[in-house]
Amino acid sequence: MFPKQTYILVVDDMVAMRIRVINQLKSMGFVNIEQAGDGQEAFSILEKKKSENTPIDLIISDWNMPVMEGIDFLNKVRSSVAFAQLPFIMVTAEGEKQQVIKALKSGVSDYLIKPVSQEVLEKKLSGMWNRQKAS
Amino acid sequence: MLIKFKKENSCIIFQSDLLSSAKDPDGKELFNNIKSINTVEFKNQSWLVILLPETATLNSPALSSLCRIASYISEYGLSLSLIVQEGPLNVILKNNMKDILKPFLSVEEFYVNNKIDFNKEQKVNEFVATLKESAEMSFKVLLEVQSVECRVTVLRDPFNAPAIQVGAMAGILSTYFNGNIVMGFSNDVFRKAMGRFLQMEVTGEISNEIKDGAAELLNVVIGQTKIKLNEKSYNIKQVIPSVITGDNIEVFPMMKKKFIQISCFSELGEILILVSVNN
Repeated sequence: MFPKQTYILVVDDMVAMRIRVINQLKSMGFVNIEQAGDGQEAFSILEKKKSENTPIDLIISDWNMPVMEGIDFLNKVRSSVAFAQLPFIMVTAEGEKQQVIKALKSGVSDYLIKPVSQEVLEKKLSGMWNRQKAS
Repeated sequence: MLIKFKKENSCIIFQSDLLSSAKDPDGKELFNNIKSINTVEFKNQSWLVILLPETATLNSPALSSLCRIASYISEYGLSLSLIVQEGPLNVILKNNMKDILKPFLSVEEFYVNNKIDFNKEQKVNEFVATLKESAEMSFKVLLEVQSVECRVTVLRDPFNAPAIQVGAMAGILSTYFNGNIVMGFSNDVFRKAMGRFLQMEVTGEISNEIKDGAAELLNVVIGQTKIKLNEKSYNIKQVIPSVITGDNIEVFPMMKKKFIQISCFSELGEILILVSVNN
């Protein structure tokens, strides 16, 4: 599993959803959690945390958001030199095949369709960490 | 003679090269082939679609045969449509026979562009059943309840739905209907539900950020419904849910819309889903 000191960025325009994911992560022992309400705000946080030498290690993002949607945020992250390799999980109610394919083509690390239980989120994070370590 | 056809989206789709070849330019054998189909196959179908694989030129006798086919199948509640898969359809029109023919270039175009009543009642019922299943599954995961039982009732009196105190509302569009879904809670049930959803105790006044949770729950339920039904070409689209709060909010549809109540019971209490559709 990712170390407890991992810096995680949770992105969702719904405050309640951010609260849920943050509390789930806290239950798993994570202590460094940032949050944003849209992709543009999230990218600003990525840049700010990098400049403070506490860079974000993992992004968990929704798809449907105002200002900058999750897929556009993903594309921006993947096309930036500084953040291109960041693990990026999409957690969204959008589960149609073409959407999943679009996200995979854009380089999403994993894709979870809501509703997501804590157990599933934990398993996905564990799997992602193991893959990261193996590579 | 064994006649091959397939059924899809309330259509019987029948491939024939008879009209376009020398074999049966007048369409008489085509008519006999259609008549040989067991009429049990026509039950619950809306269209007989004849696929012609290449350019066809329909002369007057062929058009007469098509009229006879149209007349024959109309006794079983079906309409006739013709699709030419390659090349144009050359039709020598006479009188008002062009009203019978609706040439399309592909079956997909036919499904999308034609005004077809794919047994809309059935589609609404399937939508409600899927919405109910999605609610049961989503509540079990997000609200961590042991069991959820949802019951569907068609409200004869649209003003008879229970009042709610917190809720979320979303409009939906589909190929077969459009409508509105409201998910509603009493304050007490909402507080308990949010405690489970947010993974924290909800005490004191319920803030607007927490009321957001109603919209997210509805969003997830509709999302799950979309995934299952859009595979069946329902083409469901929704707007982002809005939150509604107040004392004893009454929800009722515009007149002449079907109004359905889905009551979901769990250890938290009752969660209402009110569906109003217009097809």
